[in-house]
Amino acid sequence: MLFNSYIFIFLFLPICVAGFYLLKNRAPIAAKMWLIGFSLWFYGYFNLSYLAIMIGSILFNYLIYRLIIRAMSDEDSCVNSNADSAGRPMNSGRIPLIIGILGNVALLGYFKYTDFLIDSCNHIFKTDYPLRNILLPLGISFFTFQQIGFIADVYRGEIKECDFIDYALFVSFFPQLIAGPIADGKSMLPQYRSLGKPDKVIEGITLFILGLSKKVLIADTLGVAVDYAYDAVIGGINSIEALLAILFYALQLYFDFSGYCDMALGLGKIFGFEIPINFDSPYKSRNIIEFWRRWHITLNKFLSRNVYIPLGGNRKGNIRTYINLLVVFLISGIWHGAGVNFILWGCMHGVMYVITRLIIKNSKNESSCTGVLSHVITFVFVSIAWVFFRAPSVSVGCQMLTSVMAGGIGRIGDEFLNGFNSGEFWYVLKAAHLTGFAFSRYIVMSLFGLFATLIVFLAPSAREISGKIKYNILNGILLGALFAWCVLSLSGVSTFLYFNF
Amino acid sequence: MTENGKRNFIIALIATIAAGLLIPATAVAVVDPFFHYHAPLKDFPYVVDDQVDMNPGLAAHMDYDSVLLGSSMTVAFDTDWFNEEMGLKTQKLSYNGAYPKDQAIIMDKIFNAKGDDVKRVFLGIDELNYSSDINQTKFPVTDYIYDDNLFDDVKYLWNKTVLLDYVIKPLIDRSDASEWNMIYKPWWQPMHYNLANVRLYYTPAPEVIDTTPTEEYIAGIEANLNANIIPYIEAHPDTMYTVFYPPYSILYWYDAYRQGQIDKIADKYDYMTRRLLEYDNVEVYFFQNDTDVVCNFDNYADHTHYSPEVCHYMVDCMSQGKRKVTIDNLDEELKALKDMAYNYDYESIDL
Repeated sequence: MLFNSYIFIFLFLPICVAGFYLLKNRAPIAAKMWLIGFSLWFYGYFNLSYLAIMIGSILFNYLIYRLIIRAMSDEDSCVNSNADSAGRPMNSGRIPLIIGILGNVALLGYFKYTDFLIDSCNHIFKTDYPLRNILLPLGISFFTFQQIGFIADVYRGEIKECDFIDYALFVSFFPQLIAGPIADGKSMLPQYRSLGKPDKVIEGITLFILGLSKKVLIADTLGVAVDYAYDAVIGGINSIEALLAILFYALQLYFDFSGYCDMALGLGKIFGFEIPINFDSPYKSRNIIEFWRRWHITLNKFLSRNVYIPLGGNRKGNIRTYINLLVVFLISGIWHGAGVNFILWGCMHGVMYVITRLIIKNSKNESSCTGVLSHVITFVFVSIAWVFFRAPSVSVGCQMLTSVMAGGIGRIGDEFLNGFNSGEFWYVLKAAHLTGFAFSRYIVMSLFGLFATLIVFLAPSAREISGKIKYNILNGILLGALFAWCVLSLSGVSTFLYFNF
Repeated sequence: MTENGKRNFIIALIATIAAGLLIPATAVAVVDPFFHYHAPLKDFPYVVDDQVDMNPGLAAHMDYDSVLLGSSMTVAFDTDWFNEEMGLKTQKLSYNGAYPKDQAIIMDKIFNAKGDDVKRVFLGIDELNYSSDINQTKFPVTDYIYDDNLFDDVKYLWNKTVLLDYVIKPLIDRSDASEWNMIYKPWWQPMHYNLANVRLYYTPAPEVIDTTPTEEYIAGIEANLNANIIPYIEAHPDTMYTVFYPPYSILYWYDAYRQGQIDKIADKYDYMTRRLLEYDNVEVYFFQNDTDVVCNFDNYADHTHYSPEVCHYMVDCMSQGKRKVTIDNLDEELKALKDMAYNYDYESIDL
């Protein structure tokens, strides 16, 4: 089920919310089970067989949690001279933790990377092993990482107790199940335990509507041109189309993914939960280090806590620090997709991150890499790297970049402009008396692109708007109209870009 | 934030959403631009240009006693001619690039709506598409239009494209309103029917001999006829099926010549025609070998699509029984076709 679907908005969500609040004060456990049940429906709606995988994963990780807790309490009760500086037994719970991590990585690896490995093997060794064509369960990367984070927190002693229902809700809660954010147990489990006050329901509704608008009205419109360009690039597109496709994809991905996360945060607030923030106006970043503090924040926190720091972080000298950073970005690339293009994308970011860090470290000027030029370079770099993120292969990505340089100046094709030819744009042109003007669609595309760009660089985030909005009649009307417009735009439903990660 | 402010905000939000959803849905339901619920309003300037979404509604709610089915080879017909020549009230239900499954789907809609009141089905058959998979349609069918699920009608009632392009826009700009007798008409004007225009679209097919055995094509046709056409002929014996093979230009045969397909195509026509003529309620018209039409590029806008004048001529023929093929003259007609296709002086065409 998609957030941007009629069944979710008009059937699933109202029943789910109504049932939850009916049960919440009378029978909190039943209210949690109600949410778990709806989350399973939400997930099973895509493909019923996915459910078994997710439920199996929840049971497995909860068992690991119990084993870690038991191992730690067993060792706590023994006299153990091998204690670390914090006084914790050195090996307590390590074995179940390793089993847990290996089990999660194996699950993810099997579903996500088996075909990639077979295909790579066939290419490198000229073998002919048949592909397994394994269907990737949606959101598996998210709920797997979330659970690895959980058992790692348990091992560190940061989570000491968690009953099964809270845990099942923590993993399966539908707003963050499919495309994140990757929630951490420390902040979420206490909320699920106590079912906090629903004092931000209106803010949640506002955030949901703004997120829906970002997805439906902006990302999907840009997506038409992007899809055309990436489909047609091998056959040849001109420089202008290629350049615009690269820009539009950078915008589309942001509006799509952050729109989803805004909806997730909004839904969380509607139920009284604070889901962690995943975006903080990332394209406003002045360098790549700042970018990664603002883009997909929860993934970066996860990688920092569970990969970078365990590898030694910055505690083992400069060279090790940079290697650790490169490893983190390599893992980030692999996590995003089974393909050389994703690995390349991760490596590009890793190298840029290290270079930027070196420049800042070696600069006497404290404000290095924070000027306008640095801002522009960061956005251009990120947009170029997205080419390999979007392209189905490295060669298609290279072809897109080659088209920018060597595609020649030409007319933008009708297919590229199709997304800017939909209903409401005709009325804008009609009002401006431009319907008969040969270049009217170029004007629409340019204005739309400019509008999206300005939002990205200058406007406050949806989260900021929803937190500061004045609740008056005018804003109620504007938000209501925006929601109605989104609903009218839902036909021809599209999926979210981050579903397959 | 005062509680009053919040209350006003919520009331305004809910009221706007309610209005923003109810008003468009009501407008779409009343105008019903895809004719999903009712026949067209009398004076509304409907834009009828979406075959996949509009044909089922037209089949269900228009007043007619005969239908014109087929591919883009049928869109240039003026349905008034059927009335003038045969006294029939004919509804055009073309699907560009139609496959046999497309015909089956729309025939279901037609007969579900009209039953045995359908006197005649004019069916243009393009042999090229009759060897395809029996379930292949040219375009995906739109679920909320083709199924009987009332709930998914929200996709129609709350649909920005339907509302803006087919309900409001025609009221603002009436110039695109369709003429009912000429719905789906091609954009080509009389000046476009000539060799110069044909040349714009035409590139000779590569000289690669088609090695697919004729039997394979015939098997595909047999499966399609059995699944998608014959059941309707058998189920409605009182309906006359007037089948016609559209006259593509001589350049179509030039391609067939270059790829060694002429005999295969003739064999396909032979099989198809014999199968269809097994039924008393089927008649077949053969225009492929009509050299006056086929060899005159002033009849064509590209190498297959012919002019409204040719369409009118075909209606004349079908009303008068001219160019009708029977089991008795089929061999003769196919021989004439092969003679034309093999012996035409293709070099004389100024390509």
